[in-house]
This record gives sequence, structure tokens and C-alpha cells, in this order.
Amino acid sequence: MKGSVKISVWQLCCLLLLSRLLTTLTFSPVGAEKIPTADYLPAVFAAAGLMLFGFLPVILQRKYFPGMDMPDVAYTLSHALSKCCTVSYTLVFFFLTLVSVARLELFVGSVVFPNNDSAFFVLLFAVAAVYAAGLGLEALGRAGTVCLVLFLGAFFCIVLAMTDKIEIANLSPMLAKGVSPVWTAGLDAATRTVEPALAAVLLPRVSGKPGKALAAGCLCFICFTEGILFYVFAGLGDFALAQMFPVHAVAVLAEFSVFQRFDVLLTGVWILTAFVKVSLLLYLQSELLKKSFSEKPGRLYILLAAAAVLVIQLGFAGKVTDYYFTLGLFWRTLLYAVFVVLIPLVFLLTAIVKKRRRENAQLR
Amino acid sequence: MRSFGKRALLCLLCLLLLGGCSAPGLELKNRLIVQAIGVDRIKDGVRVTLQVLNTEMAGNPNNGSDLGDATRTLTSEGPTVSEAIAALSVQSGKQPLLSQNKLLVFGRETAEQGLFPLLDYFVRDPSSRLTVPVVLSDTTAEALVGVSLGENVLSSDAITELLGGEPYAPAVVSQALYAWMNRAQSDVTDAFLPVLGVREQGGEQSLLYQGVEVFSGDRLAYALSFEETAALSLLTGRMDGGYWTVPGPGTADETTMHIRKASSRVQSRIENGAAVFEIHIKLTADVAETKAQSPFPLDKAYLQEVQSRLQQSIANKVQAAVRSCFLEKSSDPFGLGHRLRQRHPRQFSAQFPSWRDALARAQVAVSVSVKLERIGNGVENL
Repeated sequence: MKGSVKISVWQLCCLLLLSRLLTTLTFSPVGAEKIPTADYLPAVFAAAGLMLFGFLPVILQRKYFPGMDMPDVAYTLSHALSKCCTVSYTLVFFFLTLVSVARLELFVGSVVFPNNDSAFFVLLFAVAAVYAAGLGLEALGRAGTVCLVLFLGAFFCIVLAMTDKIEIANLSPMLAKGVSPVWTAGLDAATRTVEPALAAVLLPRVSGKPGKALAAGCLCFICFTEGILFYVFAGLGDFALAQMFPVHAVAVLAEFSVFQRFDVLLTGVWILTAFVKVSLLLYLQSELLKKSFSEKPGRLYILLAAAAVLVIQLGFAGKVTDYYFTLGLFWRTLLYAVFVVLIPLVFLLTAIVKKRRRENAQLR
Repeated sequence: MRSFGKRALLCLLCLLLLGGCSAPGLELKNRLIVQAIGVDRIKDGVRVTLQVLNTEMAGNPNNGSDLGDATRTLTSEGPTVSEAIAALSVQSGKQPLLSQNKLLVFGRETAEQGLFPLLDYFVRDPSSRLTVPVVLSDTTAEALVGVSLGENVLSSDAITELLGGEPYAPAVVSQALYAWMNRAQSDVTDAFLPVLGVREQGGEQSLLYQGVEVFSGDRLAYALSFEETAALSLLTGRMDGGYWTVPGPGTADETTMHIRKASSRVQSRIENGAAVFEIHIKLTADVAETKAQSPFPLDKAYLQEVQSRLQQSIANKVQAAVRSCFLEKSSDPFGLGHRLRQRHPRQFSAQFPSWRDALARAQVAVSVSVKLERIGNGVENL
């Protein structure tokens, strides 16, 4: 992806952070590891540590192959490997698109329009996402930045309105069952963090040094997740675990003076964030396919990917797309480790060894 | 131009495909705007009573014609809450809009048999709000929801306003749905609800706040006295006002104190297999009224004496309330056990497999510190 329009490293940070915060927003006790509520708070730090480990291939990629994305790195090994890498990343992004759309439809269908068919909504959402993906990375970068500001602003309002309703006594005893639940929940959260895969493809299209942005993003993730989980569990207590969308339940609780419906604000932010994330994923799929196969179809790739998502979501929702969320921790960890960490790491290490050998041979 | 076309297409799609507005049944004129819901258990299921806005009247406030009360009451029965509510749609031809509901009422008999099976609908239904206050009716929920306080009075508003007095009146306690669920599901803390009744005098109905009753799990167990309710308000951080009367120093006179601020701190530990609670209550109070003959100078000695008596009175009453609940009812509505478990989780699990059995051995010490802030506008203040 050399030579194309670049976004700043802070825009990338906003996009990735937004994508990760959407996962936090859609946190549901259904399918998550069951641990005492207060243990979720230290688990955020464990999750952040494990997430940084997930970013290890990206850090290596930036250091040894600046200006190259992962398929480019694989290309230094072989053309076929590069194609395999592209297919692997495209499948991961396609799956993530499915998961994001499915989660949004589950939310919209059960909370926003419980009495209506949400198929029209999904269709409209897909059309808008195709349009946005077609506008390119620069537009998405700008939209991501604005969206992140709105996202954090909405949560600031919710948190402010919730402050008088929190009770520390609602939290369960912390670390009552030792540190094992903390690590379990940390791993659970980390395996839902697929942003390193996005960064591995987007890095060559970014200008600026990513070190500070990574640190800021990580810090922002910790602060936001700590804050929101504290408000969820100190506000709702164990009742949070009986709710399909606890963060939404907190927004329902957040009432202040005449502002009685902060949950509507959250709904808007949720849809907007999912829109930016899905658009970005569609765009990345198209860019990867264009690069490794044919450039001719252009935006048709976006359209095809969206159509496939739409067909699966409308035809097989619940059978396919909720799979990732209800999947056991072991299998999710395995998928995450293989596709997000292991495959890129193997490509990178092999490419580094090859590069070193070549450099040594040239020196001789 | 192409870009404009795309945008126009998107706008058109928005208009055509707005999923939320596609069902004609969702228009406001086709909805029953629910203000209060009452649930009573009957022999073969449940009876649901809905207090709904009389939209005819709400839409024509000045036309002078007799359009009836501001609210209407609808009742139906069914095997489950959802079926009973659905039956109301058949009766009225309109779909209930539960998101506007302000109150959830259960009858006494219903509460005695357990509330969990009846609450599932309200937890599961996305339009039902978790913050809705829950109250008990001293007879049936139907009686309380159907109370008529006058043509233009929304009785659901009157009840929620009455419960809104919680911070200022020690006897008033309010409980939201989610908070009640949390307590009822806990194995160490007991849930409670305020009880309201309807009084009829001279053909007119009025509301009567009757106190607070405590649950064991989801079943109604016993009533709290006024002092116990005040202790509950103090220990659960609900009290932010109210009045407390103490005997006057050296005479038979009484002095009423106005509590301005109240907070409590509980230190808990386990000693020799028994739970030990040291409760410290901090109050800021004003002298509201003395029954002494006027002029009666409130000198320093008098104020010190009143302060000390108020401290003693509150400490004694809180201690008596906690001991009464712990010893006589084996119940902990104050959440002291929860605090102990939060502080010493492993010891708690090991030493108290059944918290209720351990309550009788618990030691409670209460200390109160009162800061007298104002003594009023009497001339002697000069």
C-alpha cells in the first residue's frame, strides 16, 4: 500500500481505540468468563498487558520493515506466502465485520426496536458502510477522530449522571478467589482485541511515530474500561451479570434532572462507532484483495464483502455470527493466538532472518 | 453530481427503511401510556392492573367537556405477567408503552408468596426501566394502582413524590427495581420495600405511607418499626435530613433536632468466630424547636447536653434496631454482612457458611458524633 494517501498516527490510534472500545461497549456476561464483579477491575490491567503482547508483531514489523504491511513482509519470503497472508487477513477482517454487524443487530433488535424486524436497519447500515468505505482511509480517519470525541463525550455525560448512584458496597469482594479469575478475565478481554491485525495492515499508510500513540491508546483504553466497568458494577451490582448489555443498563440508570434518556445517547454512539468500524474493515478487505489479486474490480470488492455479510447476517444470524462471542475461552484464545499473533510473528521472524542473511551475504 | 446522487439515495433509503417507524401500531395514539403497573397473584395466574394516561383528556385540557380523570385503570388476568399485559392490548386495542412507567406495585399476599417469578418479565423486557421504584400495597396492588386522588391528579406521580421524601424523612425508604433485585438475590443482605395503603374518608381516597417491610429472599418476612427504619436509612446512606426529638436537659422538655447531613462508617472484623461491627455515625444537626417556656436561653451547657443526648439517643436506637433484626429476626437488611464479606472474603466464607445463623453471635457497637451547626433565630442567640 505504498504511495497511497496516509493518515496520521493519531488518526490510526483513534480508529483502533474506537474499534476496541466498541468491543468493551458490547461486553456481555453471556459468553464471557464468569468472575466476581470486582475482579474485573484489576483484570483490565491484565488485559492491557496481554494486549501489548498482541502488539509485539506490529512493533517488530515497524522496526524491521518500516513502510511494509504484513502481506509485503510475507512477499519478501515468497509470492505464494504473501497471497496466503492476504487471504488470512481478509478472512479475519470479514469475520470481524460479521461479528460487529451481528452484535449491533442483536442490540438493535433486542433493545432499540424489540417489536420490529431489524433487517431494514441492517440493510441501511450496510449501504451506508459501503458508501463510507468507498470514501477511503483519509475520510475514515477523520470520521474515526470525530466519532471518538463523541463516544467519550457521551460516556462523560453518562458517568456524570451516574455518579450519585454508585455504591462501593455493590462490588463483590476483590481477589476473594485469588488472582486466577483476574487473569482469566484479562485473557478473555485480550482475545477480543484484534486491533493488532488492523494495525499490521494499516501501518505503512501511517505517518508519524507510533510509539507515543500506542502508549496513549493503551492508557486511554485502561482509563475508559476501568471507569466504565467500575460504574457498571458499582452501579448495578450483581444485577449487571443478569443483563445482556450491562453498559446499556448503566446508561438507562443514568438520569439527571430532566435528562432521563442517556441510553438513547449511548444507542446513537454505538451505531456510529459500529458504522466506522465496519466501514474500516470493509475498506481493508478491499485494499488487501486489490493488492494481492486484481486492482480492476476496485470498489466492487467492498460491495461484494458487504453483500456477503448482509446475506449471512440476514440468513444465518445466530447460527454463525454469535459464534465468536459464545465460543469458549480456549478456542477463542487459540484463534486469536494463531491469526493475530502467531502467523504474523512466524512471517516476521522468518523474514528478519532472511533479511539478515542477505545483508550478511552482501557484506561478505 | 454523482456524489449528490449518492447522498440523495442514502437520504431516500433512510426515509423508506426507517425500521423503528415502520409499524403503524407504534404511533402514540395507538399506545397505552402506562404510568403504574400493579401485579397480584391470583389462583390461576396473575392479575395485572395498569394505570394509563387518559390521552383524550391530556389532548383536550381546555375544551370544558367532561373527559374523566387524568388516568384510567385497566385490569386483566392471565397465566403470566406478559400474557396478562397482552390481554390488555386485546381489551383496549392499543399496545402498552411500558417505558413511561413510573411505579411497580405488588400486593401483600403476592409478596408473601415470592416475587422472583413475577419480576422476570420486568427484567427481561427492554422497554421496562430498571430505575422504576417498587412498592408494596398493604392490600392488593390493584387497590393502590387504582387509587383516585382527584380528577386531575396522577396518583403514580403522587406516590413517587411521596417516595421522593426519602432523604428528608427517616421513615421513608424508596427502592428501585435493580437495587431490590440485587438485595433479594444476595445470600447475606435482605431486601426491603416501602408499604403504602389507601385510606378512605368521607368518600375521598388518600395515600397512606405505612412503613417498610423486609424480605427473606424474595418473600415478605416482617415489618420494621419506625426506629428500625430510621436506623436502616442511616446505615444505608439514605438519610440526608429529617427530625429527631430528644428529652430536654434536666427538665421534662423535649428538643427537636433537624438533621442536616448524615453519614455512617462501618468497621468490621471477625473475632473468635463472631462478626464484630463498629458503626460510627456522623451527623450535622440544628436545633429546630424546644418545648421549654419562652424566653429560654440556649446556653453552652444546654447545647452540650442536647448534643450528648442526641448522640446517646441515636446510638441506642441504632444499636437496638440492629440487634433486634440480628437476634430476633435473623435478618440483615442493613448490609453489614456484605461489608464484612467485602473486607474479609476468605475468612467470611470459612467461618460463616450460613450468615443468618451467625447473626445472633454478632457484636455491634455504635458511636455517634453530632456537630451542632445552627440554633435558630431566637433572640437569645445574640
